[in-house]
Amino acid sequence: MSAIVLAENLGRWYGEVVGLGDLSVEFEPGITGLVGPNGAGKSTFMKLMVGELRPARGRLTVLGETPFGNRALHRHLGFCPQQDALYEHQTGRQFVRDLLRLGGWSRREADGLAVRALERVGLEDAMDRKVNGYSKGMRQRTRLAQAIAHGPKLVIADEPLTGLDPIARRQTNELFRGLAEDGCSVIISSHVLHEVENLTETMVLIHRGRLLAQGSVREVRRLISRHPSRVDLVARNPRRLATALLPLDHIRTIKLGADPGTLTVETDDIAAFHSAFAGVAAAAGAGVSGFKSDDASLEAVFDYLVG
Amino acid sequence: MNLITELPRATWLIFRMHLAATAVSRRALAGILFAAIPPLFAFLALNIGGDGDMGERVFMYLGVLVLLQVVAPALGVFLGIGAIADETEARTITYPFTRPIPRASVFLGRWLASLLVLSVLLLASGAGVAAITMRASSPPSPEAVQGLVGATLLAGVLYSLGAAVIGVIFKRGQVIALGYAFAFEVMLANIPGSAQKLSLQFYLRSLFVGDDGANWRSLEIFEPSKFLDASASSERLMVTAAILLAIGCITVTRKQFVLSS
Repeated sequence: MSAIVLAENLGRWYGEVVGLGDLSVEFEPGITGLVGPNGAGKSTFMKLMVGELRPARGRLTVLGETPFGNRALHRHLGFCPQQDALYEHQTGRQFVRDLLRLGGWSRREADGLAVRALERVGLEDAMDRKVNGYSKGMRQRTRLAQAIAHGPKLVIADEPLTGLDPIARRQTNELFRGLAEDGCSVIISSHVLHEVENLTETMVLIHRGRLLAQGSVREVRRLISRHPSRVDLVARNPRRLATALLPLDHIRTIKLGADPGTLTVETDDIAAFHSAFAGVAAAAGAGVSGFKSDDASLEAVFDYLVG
Repeated sequence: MNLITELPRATWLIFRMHLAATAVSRRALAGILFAAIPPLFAFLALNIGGDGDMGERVFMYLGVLVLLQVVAPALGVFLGIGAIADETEARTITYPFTRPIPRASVFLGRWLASLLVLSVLLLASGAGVAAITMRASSPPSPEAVQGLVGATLLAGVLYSLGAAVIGVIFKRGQVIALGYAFAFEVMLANIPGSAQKLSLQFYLRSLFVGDDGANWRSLEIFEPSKFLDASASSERLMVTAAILLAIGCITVTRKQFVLSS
């Protein structure tokens, strides 16, 4: 299978700030998650892929073409940017339709495609309202609609799940799966691993502008599992909870916090901890009132992995 | 699709997409207030303690000192600068730049939408001054009115285009454009000598001075100047506009616009 995106020694700087260091990576067709902590270079990479920026060094091809200023390529690309920006004077329908018209569609065709795309993202009831009255999630879905409306071969979405409520998140994931079933490749970025994990088996991890790992979710998970996960807990009786948790095999350390009722647990197997925790806590009668796992934040894991 | 057919088509679509928003933008609303100043001054000059027979002089003074030298450059800068700068500031430029259209069409379409709004404002302002002063007992000649209004409209084209180009090149272009229009230009245009030829104002004034310079001589405070004839002046202004257009289109095609996340 040929690569849809091929980057070789790709670099891009903003003055003295490194956006992307020396990235070499290939994306195969299908859904790929581009994962990395904030500031890893995900957005820069995506802007290079859609031709908004030019590489400072290295080579990048998307669907076999160089992206910057490539009008032929833009016919086949859909880009959902991260920034919450729309033409505020327009309705959702006008916004998507007018952008479609730039792609050469007649007004009637563009309107039909716009309506279909907005229905697909669940905005059928709001499409004739001005976008400046939309909620954050509706604005996000409008950006998605303009990215998919023209039936692109590749959709590139920068943090598309941010700001969506759980229902919209599920719908959006279904939308991406539907696009993939229709033969459209999708690259989505996220700084939250499990967000992407729900959607695809294929993942690219970048950190500080470089490729850190690439492969299936399982492989990446295995890599990550070498690093202990931290869980912050709040309980009425933290000592009793600590005593009950300590015998679990995967527990590495337990520290009582400075604030009353708080404790921090480090575990080598976060999944096993999640399955065992409720039963152990209930049996101990520790009165747990707070649970925060840092699994959602990749920053620590990335720092660990890069040494 | 080739560039020759795609550029006008995409320019037209971008123009239509942004015309209504430009017309009701804060820039345009401020422009309405600014454009109302010359007719207001004309009314005050002729009706508050005026002797009513200074129609021509009031028209010429307001036309040159206020309309051509202040209102047209100010409105040109305010409306022109937003062509690309507003898109980058609002971070919406990603959308047209990731569509299969020439990037130059975004610059052209948005500038033309600004120009149309600007032209309406300048025309209304010039026509207002003309209508008020023509009711006085010593009205300006129709040729003078035509010349000055024409020069003002052309001033709108050039200043807005210059500002639009500055807005493409520089991040905070408004200060630079205003500095050019109100410091550099005004100084060059009003210092006696051939340095005037480096200013747009010189060529704009050349459009309405009249064959014998009579219109200009009515502005007694100025040194007599030797102007170009109107056609030579128009030609040079058009060449300037074409150069600015080319710079704007090439820059917007080649430049990378880095948006904050």
